[in-house]
Amino acid sequence: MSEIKTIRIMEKIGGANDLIAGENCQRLDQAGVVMINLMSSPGAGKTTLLERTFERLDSGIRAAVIEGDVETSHDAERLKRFGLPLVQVNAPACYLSAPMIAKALDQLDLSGIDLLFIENIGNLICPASAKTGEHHKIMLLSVTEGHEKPLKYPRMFVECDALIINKLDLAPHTNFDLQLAKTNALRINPALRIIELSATTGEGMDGWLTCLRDMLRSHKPEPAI
Amino acid sequence: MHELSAAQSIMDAVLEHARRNDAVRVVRVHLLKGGLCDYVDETIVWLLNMLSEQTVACGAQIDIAPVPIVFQCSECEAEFIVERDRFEARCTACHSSNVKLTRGGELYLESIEIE
Repeated sequence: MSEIKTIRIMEKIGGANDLIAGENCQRLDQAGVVMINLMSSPGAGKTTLLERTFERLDSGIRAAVIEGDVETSHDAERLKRFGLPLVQVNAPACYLSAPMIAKALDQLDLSGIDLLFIENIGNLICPASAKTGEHHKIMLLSVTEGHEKPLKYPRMFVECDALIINKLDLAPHTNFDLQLAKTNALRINPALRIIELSATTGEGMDGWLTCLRDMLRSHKPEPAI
Repeated sequence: MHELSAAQSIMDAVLEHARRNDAVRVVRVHLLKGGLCDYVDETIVWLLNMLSEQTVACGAQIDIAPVPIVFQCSECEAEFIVERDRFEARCTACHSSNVKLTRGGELYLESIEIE
C-alpha cells in the first residue's frame, strides 16, 4: 500500500481568464478606450438601449460594439445602421470570456474608439463572474423581471458599478415596486449608481448619457468633446 | 452550463500538479467554493468524474467546502460575514456602506491527495 500525500495548491479557478482580462484592459488603457460590459437576462432591452444610446450620444464620442450572441446575428443586424465598428462574437457558451474579447479587440482599430460596449450574452449568472477586461460592468433590469431579482442573483449586483432599470413605461402594467427594487439592489451593493429609464420611449435617457460621460471622464485625462 | 469551463480548469490543474508530484493516483480533490459562486456542486462533481476518466484522477473523491461571503469595511476595517439569503452589505460594527467583498466570490482548488 503506497503512502497518501497531500499537496496544497490554493489555485483560483478562472485565474487564466483573469490574466487575459488584465491584458485586455491594459491594451484598452494604452489606446484610451473605455470598455463597458453590459449584462442582463435575455429580453431586458440591451440592444434597444444601445440603439437609443447611439441615436443620442454626443457626436464627439466614438463608440463601438462587441456583440455577443449564442448563435444568431439578430442584434448585430439591428445595430448595423449606425455604421459603428461592430464585432459579432458567436459563443457557444453562456457568457463572453476574456479570450473571446481579446480576439474581438484584434478585429477593431482601437485608436479610433473612445467608448466600447460589450453586449454580453443574456444571462444573470454566468457573465457576472467572468472578467473581460472591462472598466465598468453595468446591468440592465427590466421592470417585467420583478423587484426581487437583486436578492436572487446577488453576484451580478455585487459586480456592477451601475444598474439600469429599464422598461419604466411598462411599470404601471406590472406589480413591480420600483422603490423596493432599488432598496434590494442597494442592500447588495450600496455603491451602485441606479438609472431609471425606458429605452423604448426615451424617458430617462439623459441620466444614462450623463453616466456614460462620467465614466469616460473618469478614465481619460481629457474628456471627449 | 458555466460549470463545464470551471471543471475543465480544475481538472487541468489537478493533472498538472499530479504530474509534477509523480502521482500514480489522485485519491481526493479538495475545492473551496465561495458563497457567491453560482456553481451547482453536483454538476461540478459529475463533470469532474467524466473529465477524469482514463487519467490518474479517475475515481478521485471530490470534496467541496463552502467559504462564507466576507466583506471588509473601508471606514473601520472590521470584517463581517453576510448570509446569502439575508444579504446586507453594510458594516455590522459602524454601519458604513463603504464596504468591499474580500472572500466568498471565488472557487479555489485547495489541495489534492495523491498516491
